[in-house]
Amino acid sequence: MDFVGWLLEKGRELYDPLIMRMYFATVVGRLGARTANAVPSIAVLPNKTPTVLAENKSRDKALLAYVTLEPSLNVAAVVFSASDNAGPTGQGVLIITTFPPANDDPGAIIRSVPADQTFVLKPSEQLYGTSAFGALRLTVSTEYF
Amino acid sequence: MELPDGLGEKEIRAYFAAVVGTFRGPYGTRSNQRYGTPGESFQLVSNSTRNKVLSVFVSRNDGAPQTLSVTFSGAPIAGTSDFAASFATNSIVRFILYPGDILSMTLNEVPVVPLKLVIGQEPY
Repeated sequence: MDFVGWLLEKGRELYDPLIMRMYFATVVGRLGARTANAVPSIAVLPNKTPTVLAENKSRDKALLAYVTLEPSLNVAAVVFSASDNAGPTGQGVLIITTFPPANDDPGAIIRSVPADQTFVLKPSEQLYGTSAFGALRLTVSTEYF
Repeated sequence: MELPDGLGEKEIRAYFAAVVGTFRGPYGTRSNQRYGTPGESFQLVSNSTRNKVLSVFVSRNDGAPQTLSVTFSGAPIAGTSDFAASFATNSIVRFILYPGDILSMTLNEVPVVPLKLVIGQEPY
């Protein structure tokens, strides 16, 4: 058995299958390499109103969710939370345009999706977003693992 | 297969916490704290579990434009050799805590408004 096999075997001993699914989701998803092939959707966020960005409706799978800005925007402040009542414990994130415009530098390497804009959800968990400054349109890509 | 030298359950749990925990920001146990006194050290979180590793998120959401210099430490009071960071509003700093570890923070300058922190923690 090689080192990765050993590591996965140890993980199976310590955790239930859901954690292992979350592990694979995060490893595969951390470079943003699945954003183009995941299920895309548009989320319209009114100013300062919590809006559902993603929901894990599976019974036992992990849901990977990427949140990016529409290409015409460069930066926005969004509070991410697990419920529509983020209160003072929501996670404020300054999110940036994830990919450079196509005509900006054709030779540029696609940047990875920042971890602050990528989330892995357990079954029945929801991801809410609240725009801190004005209405926003976000692209949300999701994939089950 | 034999354990590599020095690696045990604690390190395996830390590994999974580091990989999976990175993408769990809004979830887990939540708390928030306000600070405003420079030079004072505050304990943010402690890992009181017997054998679990704690994935910890510290984010700042007071909305003030000032980027603050802060020092994070595994000791109750930060020293000059501890981890100093520029902490902008809406930014996140992540930590992995072993059982028995604590995490404290020291403000190195006066905030223009009281500092508001959000702390998320999830065991692995």
